[in-house]
Amino acid sequence: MAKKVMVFVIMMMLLAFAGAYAKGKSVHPEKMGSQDCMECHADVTPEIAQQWEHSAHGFVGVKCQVCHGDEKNFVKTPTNDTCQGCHALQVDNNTSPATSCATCHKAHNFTIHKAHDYNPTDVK
Amino acid sequence: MMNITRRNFIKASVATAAAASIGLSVTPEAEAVQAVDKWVKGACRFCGTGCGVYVGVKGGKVVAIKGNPDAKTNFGFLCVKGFLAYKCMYHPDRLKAPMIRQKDGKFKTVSWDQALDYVADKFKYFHGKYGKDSVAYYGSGQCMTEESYTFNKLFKGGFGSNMVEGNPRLCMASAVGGYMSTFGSDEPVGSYADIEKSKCLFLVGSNTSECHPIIFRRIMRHKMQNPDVKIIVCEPRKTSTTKIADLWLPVDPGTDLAVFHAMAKYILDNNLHDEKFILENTRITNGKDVTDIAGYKEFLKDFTPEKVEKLTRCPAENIKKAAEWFAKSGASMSLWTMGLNQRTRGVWANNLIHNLHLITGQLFKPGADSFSLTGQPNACGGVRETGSLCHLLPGTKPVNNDAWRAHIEKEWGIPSGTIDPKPGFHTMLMFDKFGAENDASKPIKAVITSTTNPAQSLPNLNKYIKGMQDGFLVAIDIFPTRTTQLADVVLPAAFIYEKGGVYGCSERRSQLTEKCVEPVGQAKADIWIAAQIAKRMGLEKLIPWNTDDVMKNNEMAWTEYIRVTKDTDHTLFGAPYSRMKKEKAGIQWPCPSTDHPGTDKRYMKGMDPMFEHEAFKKKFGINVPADREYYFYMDGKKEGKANIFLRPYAGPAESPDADYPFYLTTGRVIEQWHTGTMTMRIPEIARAHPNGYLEIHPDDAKKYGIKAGDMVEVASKRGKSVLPAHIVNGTLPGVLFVPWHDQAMDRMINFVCNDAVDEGSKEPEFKIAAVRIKKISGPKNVAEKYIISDINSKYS
Ligand code: SF4
Repeated sequence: MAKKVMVFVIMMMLLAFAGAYAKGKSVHPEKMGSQDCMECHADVTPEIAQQWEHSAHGFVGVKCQVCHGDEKNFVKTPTNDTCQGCHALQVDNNTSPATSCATCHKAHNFTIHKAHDYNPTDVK
Repeated sequence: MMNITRRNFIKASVATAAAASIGLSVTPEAEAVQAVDKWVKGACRFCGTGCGVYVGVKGGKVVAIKGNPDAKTNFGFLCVKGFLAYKCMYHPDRLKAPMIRQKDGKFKTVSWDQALDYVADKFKYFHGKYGKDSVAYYGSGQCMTEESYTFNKLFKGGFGSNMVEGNPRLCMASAVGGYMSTFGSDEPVGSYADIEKSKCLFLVGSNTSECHPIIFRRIMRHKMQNPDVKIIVCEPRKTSTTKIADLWLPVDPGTDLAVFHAMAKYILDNNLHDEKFILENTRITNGKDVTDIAGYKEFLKDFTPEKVEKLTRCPAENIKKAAEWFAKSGASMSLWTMGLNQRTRGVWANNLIHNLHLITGQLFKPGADSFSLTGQPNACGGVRETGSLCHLLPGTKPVNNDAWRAHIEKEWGIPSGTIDPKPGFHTMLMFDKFGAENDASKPIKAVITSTTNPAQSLPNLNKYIKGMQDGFLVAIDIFPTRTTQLADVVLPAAFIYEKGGVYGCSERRSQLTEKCVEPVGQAKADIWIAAQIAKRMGLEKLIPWNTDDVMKNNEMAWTEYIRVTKDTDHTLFGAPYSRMKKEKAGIQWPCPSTDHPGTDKRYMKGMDPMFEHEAFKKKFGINVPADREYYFYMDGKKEGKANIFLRPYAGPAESPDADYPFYLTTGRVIEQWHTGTMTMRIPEIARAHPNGYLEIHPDDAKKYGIKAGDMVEVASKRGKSVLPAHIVNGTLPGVLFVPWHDQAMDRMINFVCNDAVDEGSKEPEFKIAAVRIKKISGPKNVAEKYIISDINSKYS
């Protein structure tokens, strides 16, 4: 029991730490300069860059800055306002609207929605 | 370049990693989406895909945008431009008041009355002194349909002048020529809905993934769900579109006519053609004489894949495989855009793609079509369909057609003989003949431009700048541009969401955008500007929609337009504003009545309402035989047949030689739109492509001692640019590529481009120039995100 409590306490602490970090103003850890985000990220976060490249976003050119913004409006975790731009139905259908899409759809290889979400309505 | 260290990044990522490790995401606080006062239905401002949107308005300002899930074009998805670029409407550089250039070369802000009186007086003066054709209009495939219709009517019906052109001449004219000559009527047979039914997609002369991203998304999803679907890409560059391709057909720029002929030859030689379809529905012709399949085979006899490989660098095996897949798939769809159109043989290239569909019967069935993707959001609806080009009238009918001219004159209530039967000057000729009042070699003394930036977008710019500088130039736009730098009068325009109106996209679909908010400053809709000029020139009766209520003006113009074109193959008579407001996905023409759902496939019995449209058939003398399942009713020979054209091989106007050993081709990148005047003002977008660059193959770079980032001069016989080198594997050696959005003078690649035109479509050969290169220096930081902000800045 004590062990379980301990695990729970650690989890809560981690979450609190993580939450506090996320709630703070999103600031890009480095000056962005003028280049495309990938100019650096292909080197510094190669796994993320590769995940993105293989994702639907990578295929259709939804690059880092489309969801994460630029230097002045940088967000670490994109908000539902951003997701809504393309996934309006899914945002509308979200049964827990206070929850971020990113909670379940993990960066950056995103689980995709059900196929029927995408089936064009005029294709019989 | 790399100014972030792995350590810093890892530090910043600790929290995320910790949370993720216990299966939970780090997310900001409550995520409820921002509340808006209203969501207003509309269309995307950018490409010809025609994505449906909802515009979020709060406190009288546009604050958000989202895709319209009911739209049949995009099903709710948007690309980066549609999602972010509308924000430029609140950029501080927006032009907010009319301005007239003074003697000292600087602009002075004036009232609308002063500006309009000045423009109208100048136009009257030129008309009086130099005749009706001395004043020209140069519009855009980004104007609303109502705006193009109004300017077209003002010039052709009011001034009696056909000096009406628009930038679709630079992008879609060859596709129009291809459709008109092959099928007798402009625009595709089928729809985007064919994509999801197709079994083989032939993407040719189109970097779909960057230039029509949401179409690409549909293709990508289709391929993902149906891995057996074959994707063929035919391009000199191995673009990002090839990521999903099964086969790449690399070709030297301008040589692909031979590849298309070789595909046709392979299909015929291997009996993969549909003889019944050919006999019933087509006419094989060289434009004069009619021949048969044997004659076609004889014509093609030299186009063996092996010989064609030598001419084009396209591997013979790839040609054969492509032909086989195309003919055997059961449902093949071609999609193309500027790579075929912006050519001196653009119309022929279009014809030859149509040929492949006609010989294999790859038309009409679900998933089969010969489909031109239009570049701009309203090139089809606004310019092609309203006939806002120098040789056309509303309904895409030629000005030299006596009966149609008489019809339009009657509809417009103007005396018979008002409209000039002689076409005006096509775009390149118009700008060639535009210049100073005292220059007798320049008969065009004044040009009014709307929603376009010719001082950056014309090819071979060096030839045309002086004319624009010396002549009387009026620019209607939303930002300072290269063109406003040459203008005498600048009129501030409203953005699409500040005025509303109809856009018609590539698939014959017209969608209404409602006015969402008031324009910034004193900006006005172009339709209002046109009507105010008309009023000042005594043409108030001709253009009566001059109220201050822009949606009322739009509706009046639209109502007249659909009446004038009521009995044509393009009819939208069943799509009045009352219906357009309600339709969530717009309407595809032909749509003859308000109870008609719009047309998915043309020329097909049971699908196309024109088969039963008695007034249309009477007007154009059409008789559809009862036994014809398919009937190309606009066939000039009245046989209901499409033409399979035997077009001889012809290469580009300019091929590499000892002095200019490289091919240069130009194009767009996904984030940037045309001359970058809107998109470069969006920080997220500007960052993606902060400057133009030169793509070069590693072998060529090595030969010239060029390393990544080195500054390289690219020069043709006409002009030069200096750009940083991007060394890429994804292109043929000997072929260079430069995107054309950069406004910085040194990097405006259109100085280098060729202005030779297709003799049929008069579309210039942007896509192919012979150039030489020279390393100028080592790397230089040119990631400037350059924009012209100062309205008084010089063209330099
Ligand atoms: S694909 Fe074209 S129409 Fe659609 S959002 Fe992008 S730019 Fe707009």
